[in-house]
Amino acid sequence: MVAAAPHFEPNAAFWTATLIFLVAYVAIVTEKIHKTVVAICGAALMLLFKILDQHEAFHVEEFGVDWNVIFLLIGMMIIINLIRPTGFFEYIAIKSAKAGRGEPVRIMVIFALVTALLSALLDNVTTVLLLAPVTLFIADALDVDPVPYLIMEAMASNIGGTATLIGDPPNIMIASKARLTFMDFIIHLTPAVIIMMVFLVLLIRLVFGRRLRTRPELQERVLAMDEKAAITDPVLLKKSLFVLAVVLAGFVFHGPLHYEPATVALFGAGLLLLLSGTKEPHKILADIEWPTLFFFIGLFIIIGGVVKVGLIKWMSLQMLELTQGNLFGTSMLLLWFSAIASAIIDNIPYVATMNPLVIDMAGSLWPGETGLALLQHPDLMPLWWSLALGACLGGNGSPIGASANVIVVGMSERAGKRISFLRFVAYGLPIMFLTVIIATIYVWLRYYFL
Amino acid sequence: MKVKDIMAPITEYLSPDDTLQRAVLTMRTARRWHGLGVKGMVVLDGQGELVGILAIKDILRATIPVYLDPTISRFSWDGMLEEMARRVACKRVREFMSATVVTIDEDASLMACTDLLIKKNLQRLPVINRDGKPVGIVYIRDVYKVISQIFVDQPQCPL
Repeated sequence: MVAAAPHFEPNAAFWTATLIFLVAYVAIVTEKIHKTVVAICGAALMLLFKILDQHEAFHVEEFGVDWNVIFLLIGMMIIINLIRPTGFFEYIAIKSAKAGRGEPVRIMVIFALVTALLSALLDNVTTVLLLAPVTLFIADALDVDPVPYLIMEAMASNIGGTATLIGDPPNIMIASKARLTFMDFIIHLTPAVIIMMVFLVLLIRLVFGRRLRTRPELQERVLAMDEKAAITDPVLLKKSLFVLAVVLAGFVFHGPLHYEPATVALFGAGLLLLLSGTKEPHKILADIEWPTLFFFIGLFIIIGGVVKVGLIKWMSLQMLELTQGNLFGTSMLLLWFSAIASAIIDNIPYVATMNPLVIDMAGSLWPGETGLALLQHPDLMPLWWSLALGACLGGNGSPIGASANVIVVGMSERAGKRISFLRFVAYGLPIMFLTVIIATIYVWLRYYFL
Repeated sequence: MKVKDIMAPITEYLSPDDTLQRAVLTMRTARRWHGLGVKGMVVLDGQGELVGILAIKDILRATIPVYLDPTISRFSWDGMLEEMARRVACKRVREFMSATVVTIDEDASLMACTDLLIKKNLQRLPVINRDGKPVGIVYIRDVYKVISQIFVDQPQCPL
């Protein structure tokens, strides 16, 4: 089944590119230098040593920057930057707390579900960044420990983000590389995420059901809040929700209409900028997370370099050798290895590396196929889903596993409630294992058993 | 005149390990030449080095939870400030003092002193000697006293 390894002679370019790649990875993991700086320097070195020429880095899909990812992120960031100041997120959070009738466990469940839903449709970081302050406030009002709430929100945001193409950066990257549509993710990943959320809710009830208590007069505080007071700009909010609906419809139909997801996001961003009547687009554009985008840009070029010299191809052959071309085995290996790797390192560089590796592996398995027939080979699809599930869910395993975790830990610390590494892991690791086990059963049942 | 000619010597100060409760008691009982209490005090460590300033604004700020912003504060319940105040009463001065302190040299001119007070929006300015040790404080009111005296001493301005 495995294609014979082609004759491969590492040359100077191979070693140079591999060295740049390894040094960049070590620098990113150790965090001695900011990851964006590392990515830009690494990319510049790939160009300077002529591993890639500039045309390849900027314009060739196989080796260079994936502009689909960049512009999808830019479009969504602009839309979110315009929605944020309307008070929409605070409105939802206060309304959720009231829907929970001021009961601590019920509120935790509703917050987890709302976080998962918002994270699936927007990005995890924004969701957590906007919900965490309200969570701390509600916890103060009810005189309960905010830490379990914050950790559960990070968990729910990483699980919810797994559900859709736009939910989490790994999915955006996988979708672009494998040319998957929004509906592909809805059909293949959303059911798994719904099952996981059911288990998360049961777990919350089981663990916190008896532990979290408040007093009726404190519940009254929450019930007396009027969520409508959060809305600062009702006109802009209506326009934002309209554009959000248009964008979601655009995502649902982008496949059949033959538009890339980035086209949908950019259209939405342009439309909302226009409707908002802003005279200060520079302020909204300045709030785009440029460091994140440049991190992506740099990484794409670094990975392009090691793809071109054959390192990724070599790695893919090692992996095939390990699994002996058994696709179920490969799928499980991808799922679990991705989960553990993503708990320890940033899942963005991880997925950036794995994407071309999976494609190279497919190329060895089905040498006759090219293009979409190769990228979406029926036997390859479970591998993409395993990669997405592992990379997204693994983020829950440690406080540094995902950006949402870093944010809740940071915010909790500033609020005087330090979450130690071990306390986070005590919640995160069991939930990571629970969700990855669910994913394992899901992938096995859906793609290899039934 | 120089800064050292109008500064008030440091007679009372806070320690970074004082509780906020103790700090407000110290500030309440301290009196200046005009008989009024003080609204801010220098914080000195065991070696007499200046490590910060604690002013009433810092104490107000201490009661505001980090998560509060103008949107969330619209939902605050009656009695929230009192609850937060009780919660921080026993916290340490070092957590809430302004640790980056603008200082002025004792031999600096009053002009330089006035410029600093206004441009940096300060109420009081610790004065340090040549060894970098804090020796006094200039209050905005003390500089005003000099200026107002000059105004009053002048022949009456034509109306």
